Amino acid sequence: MKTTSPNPLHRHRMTMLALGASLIAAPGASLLAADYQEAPQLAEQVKAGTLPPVEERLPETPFVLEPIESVGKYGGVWRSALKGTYDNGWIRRTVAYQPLVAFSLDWSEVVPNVAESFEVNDEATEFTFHLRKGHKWSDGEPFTSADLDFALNDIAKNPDYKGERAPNFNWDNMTGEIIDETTYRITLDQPDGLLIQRLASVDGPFLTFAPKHYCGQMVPSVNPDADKLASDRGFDSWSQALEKTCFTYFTDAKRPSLNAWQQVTAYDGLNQIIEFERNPYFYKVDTAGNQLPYIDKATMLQSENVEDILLKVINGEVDFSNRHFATVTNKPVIYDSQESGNYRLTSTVDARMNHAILQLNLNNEDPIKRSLYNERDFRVALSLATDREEIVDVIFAGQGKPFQAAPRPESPFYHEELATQYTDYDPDKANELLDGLGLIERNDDGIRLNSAGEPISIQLYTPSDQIEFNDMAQLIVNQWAEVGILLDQRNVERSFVYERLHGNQHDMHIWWGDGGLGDALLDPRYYFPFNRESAFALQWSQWFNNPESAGSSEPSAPAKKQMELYGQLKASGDPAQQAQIFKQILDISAEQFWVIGTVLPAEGYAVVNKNLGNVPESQPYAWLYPQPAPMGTSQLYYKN
Amino acid sequence: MTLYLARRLVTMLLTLLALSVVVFVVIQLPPGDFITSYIARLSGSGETIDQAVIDTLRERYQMDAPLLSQYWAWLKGMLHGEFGYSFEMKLPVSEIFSERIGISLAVELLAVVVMWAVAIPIGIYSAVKQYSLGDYFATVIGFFGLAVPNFLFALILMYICYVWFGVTITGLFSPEYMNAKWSLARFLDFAQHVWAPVLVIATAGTAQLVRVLRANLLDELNKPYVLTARAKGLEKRKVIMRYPVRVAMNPLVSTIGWVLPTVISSSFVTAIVLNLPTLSPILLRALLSQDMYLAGALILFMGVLTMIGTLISDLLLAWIDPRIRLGMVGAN
Amino acid sequence: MSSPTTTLIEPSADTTEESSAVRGTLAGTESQWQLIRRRFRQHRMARISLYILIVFAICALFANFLAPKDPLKVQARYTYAPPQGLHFIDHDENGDWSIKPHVYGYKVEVEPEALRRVFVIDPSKKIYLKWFVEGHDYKLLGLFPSNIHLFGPERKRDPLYILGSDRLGRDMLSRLLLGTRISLSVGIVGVILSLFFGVLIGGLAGFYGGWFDAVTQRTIEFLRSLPTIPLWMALASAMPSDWSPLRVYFVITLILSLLGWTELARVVRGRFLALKDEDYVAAALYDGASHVRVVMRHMVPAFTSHIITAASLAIPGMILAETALSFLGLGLQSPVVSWGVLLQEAQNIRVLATAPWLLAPGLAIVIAVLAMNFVGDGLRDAADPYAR
Repeated sequence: MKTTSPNPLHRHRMTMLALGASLIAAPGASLLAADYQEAPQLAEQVKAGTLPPVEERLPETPFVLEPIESVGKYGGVWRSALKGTYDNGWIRRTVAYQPLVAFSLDWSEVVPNVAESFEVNDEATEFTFHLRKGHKWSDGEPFTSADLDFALNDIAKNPDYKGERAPNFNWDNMTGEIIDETTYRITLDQPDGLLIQRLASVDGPFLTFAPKHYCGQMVPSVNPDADKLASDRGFDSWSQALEKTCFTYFTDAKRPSLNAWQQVTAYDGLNQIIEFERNPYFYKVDTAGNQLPYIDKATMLQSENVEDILLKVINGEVDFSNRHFATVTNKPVIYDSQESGNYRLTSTVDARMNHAILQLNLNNEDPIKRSLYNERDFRVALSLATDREEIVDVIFAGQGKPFQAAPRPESPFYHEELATQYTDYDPDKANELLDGLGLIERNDDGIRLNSAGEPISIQLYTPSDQIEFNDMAQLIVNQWAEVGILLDQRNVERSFVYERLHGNQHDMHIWWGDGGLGDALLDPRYYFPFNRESAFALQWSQWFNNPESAGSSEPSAPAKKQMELYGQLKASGDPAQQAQIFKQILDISAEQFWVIGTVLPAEGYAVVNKNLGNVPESQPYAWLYPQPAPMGTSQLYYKN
Repeated sequence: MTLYLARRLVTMLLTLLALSVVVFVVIQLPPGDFITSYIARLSGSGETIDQAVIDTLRERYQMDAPLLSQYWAWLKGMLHGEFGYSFEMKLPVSEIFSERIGISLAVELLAVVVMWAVAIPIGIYSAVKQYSLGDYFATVIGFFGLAVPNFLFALILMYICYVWFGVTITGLFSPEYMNAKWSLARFLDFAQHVWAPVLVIATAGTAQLVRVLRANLLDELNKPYVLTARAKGLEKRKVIMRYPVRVAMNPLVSTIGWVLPTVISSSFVTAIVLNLPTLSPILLRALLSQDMYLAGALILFMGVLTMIGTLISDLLLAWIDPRIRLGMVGAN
Repeated sequence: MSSPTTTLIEPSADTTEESSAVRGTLAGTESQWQLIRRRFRQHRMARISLYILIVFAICALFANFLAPKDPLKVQARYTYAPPQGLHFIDHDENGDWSIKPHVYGYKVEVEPEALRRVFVIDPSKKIYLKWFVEGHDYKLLGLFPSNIHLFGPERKRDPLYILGSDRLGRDMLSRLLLGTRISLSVGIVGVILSLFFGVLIGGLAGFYGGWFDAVTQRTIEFLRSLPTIPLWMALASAMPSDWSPLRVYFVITLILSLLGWTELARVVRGRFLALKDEDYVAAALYDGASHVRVVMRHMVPAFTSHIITAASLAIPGMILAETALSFLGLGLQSPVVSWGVLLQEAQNIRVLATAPWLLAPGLAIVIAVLAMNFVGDGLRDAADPYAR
């Protein structure tokens, strides 16, 4: 038995994610019901009789959130901005992260959140969650294990549901079961030691996202007239209606939630500002018994372009955000306007371990290219021919250091050999290796000829909306030309890049190095052929996920070995054992040298209103760890 | 006349049909489809999507159906007044359309009105007083407006307003009025914001109008009938306004039908930079994400506008210059 | 402005001394083109503009020779370096002076917090310029290999950024020169194409009418009802990605002119319709003049001015269209250098706030477009058959 409480942030070394066969209890001591206070507006409503008193709105044992700095006070608006209609990611990162279990602020462990406590058996096959008695949705309806069961069985596992659902879960493997009103159990056929982390990730909230009393009316298994209801509302099918209302698009503002702020305006692409208002039934209180959140409202302006957002930032119209605008390019401007914009900068530790990973397509359809790309020496030569210091100097004003595709130095999975091998700039050695591969003949432009006598030309499409990829590629074009390799780089529209990629028509792909911190285990895409993002061996990754699927091909022996090891890793519920197996996987990655890394990103930044309290000075930044939400955004407050 | 109109309407319908085919093909032309661009976008923020879900979505949106049957389904829907469903915004196209059309037309029409209101007097002035200081001034200013790319102008305007006045001028409303119902206060707020886009859009078009009007008018001013009229002692101002200006407007009128669609097209970029809640950003997004039905409906709508505009300009042309008979304009 | 009475006697008095000069030659036997040239010279703005355009043309033709640096060469130490400014008069320590073109070097500091380099112009470091220096290789006019450049720093490694550098430390002046070549030719080739189609088709339709006119009308109406930007976008993004940049460039030009001709055709047709019923045209036809002669001799001159105006407005239109396409991330793409591409790279707050010199291509566009318009204007006035 182990009790955890929110830790102060460890900045330099992430400790192992704690989970496994232990009961994890909710932090903090319980307060007497009479001690609870509420926001003035809510108190007025209670007085007017339009709202039940705070004790009745809170669960019997509210979540007691220990403030990062101090107990705050009520009031204010948290302003930020969204880009276009697709930016539900920011909503999920800020106001809509209330999963059963959540990541701790420093990403070192998984702690109870909506669930008061949870248990996992030793085999990592049985996950039991205990909900809070008297927990209510934002409309006052009770939140019970029936809601979890509805989200899992009637939506996620429903084969008739033709719509989007949370990614990265193996639905067939999961069986849900209501034990009693506040107890829910998920049982797995195959053990999955990573499930708890997955449930704490940004994809996890799906279980607490769909109130049965609201979303149920759109599902035939709950409401037999669901189809009629959908067509009455102008939808093609109930799936479409359900997807629109109860998936994470936020296109329906009426869906009750467990969030600190309840959505008021729909994010439908038409409304220009999306508003969220204090949820009177929110289940968290601070250590003084004040019901959270402190801040009255969160508003998000929908903008069409990042420059507009940037202008709003430097004009002090954004209170706390790093979404879209916090790039290397914009840093000088944002840095300079801190005074006039009345904001300061806090730092973020990017979970991405690389600014750009270059992936040669080992499954290339062209046999000559395929055999060449599969030569480890060829990849090593290209890595040695890459002058990473120049990239750091030109594009990142000297900030950042050469790095391969490997977990970051801050990560418990840091693997020195994998991270640093072949990062030196050594064109002579590169030439030697290429000569050694028999690529000696050159054409008039000095480009080496392949075994068919044609110049070696590697096509690379960079997405035109990611200017840094384009810039890096242009540098690399020149650097590789020095050793006689032609990198034929084109800037194209992003979906075109993916069209080529998914058709396996690419020679090389360039993308961010995700999976550098706590997400290494959940998203090891660059360490072995893991998912659709493993562009270096798409067909192998498809084999890994489903050997029968079209377009899959049998991986090489080392890749297969890694896949096997990952299976063992998932079967283990013990973090130490997981780490040990993961190290073996990384050993093989180092030996195979699948992909070529470039530069380890330096510290990132977020813009924070000077007046805003309880903001962490440093926080990991990742997609699976939906920064800033794990800090508990409900504790943000305005000092004056 | 009625016969002529009827004939025009029939040809318009046929053109529209042809347009729908071209629009459909054009939207399908770029590689990939909505799902591809959706996946690309998800990857952009680190998100992933399961293959099973992709297959489901493809099936639901009938992405893999033959083009012809997709087109037929779309056309059939439109004949029933259903313009389809936006994949991206999860809304019926008609709803998006009705929500945004008012404000879009308001901005465009305002820009057109400003354009004509500024261009006609300046055009006449700089033709009548050719090579005067005023003419040069108007010319340089006009050309300047023409020469500065819209997006650059908009961006610089944004930045200057921020540096000098500490305000961000993007959008058409302040945050507090964005989701509000129309009221006097909201209208005033709108008026405070709309000047920037109208300025940017109108600047480009005004110069063109001024130039064409000036050129046409200069042609006319030197014709013998003007001299005759002047020789007979008619007041100069009257002479100019009554005849040459009318005739000089002729070529302008023949393009009046295109003004609206052109303005919509040229405001396209402006609307994105200045973040206007009009149809332009929606069309751009729809095109980029290959949100087929939304993009298709919007482009068709612009096509209809042009056709109506062409019809109007043909009618106007006949009215202004009786030498052009309607019969010659239409098919015969 | 002259009063009505003076106008009666001298109707063209409002055009001041120019018209009297022209009047003096009317009695002579100058050809039409001599007349045009003479009248054109009297349009001062047009004349100046023409010189400017000639300079632009020279820049475009000899871009590589004039460019001091390789426009694609990345310089890590000099990202976002501000313009150095050119100095001609050199003072030595004795206080003597001589004419010796030079620029000042930089003092560079890295601000890690703000993530940028800070440049201070350092007058103590003088970098002298030399004429006809050796530099990067290129092909003069695309034909003759050479490495001689008009000017450059005495020592090849010294920084020379007269117009500053971009985010990769590439020389803005050299990029601008190279961009001139691409952008001007896109405009000119595009307009020539649309002029050809526009006048031919519009003229035929207006003159002959009938079914041809009907078909043309419908086609134009149809093409016009396609909104330009979406159409460009679709066509540009549908272009096969393995095409060479040069091929993409030509196809973009073609796409731009594909829609340009319709406007011209419609205007020409409108003029033909109006002119067809003019008595002098009818008279010429009854007189047995051939159609070609009637058109070329009597009708075309009547609206040359309009065509010239339209064309002079169309070239800048093409150039601007190219920049708009680049803005949307379509059209030409780096490493091809055009004004549109350069501006696209500059269209952000960072540049406006900290590196405004990167907007130089915008200035180039404005100047070129202004000049083209004035020249068109001057030509219009000069070619006007009714001019006095």
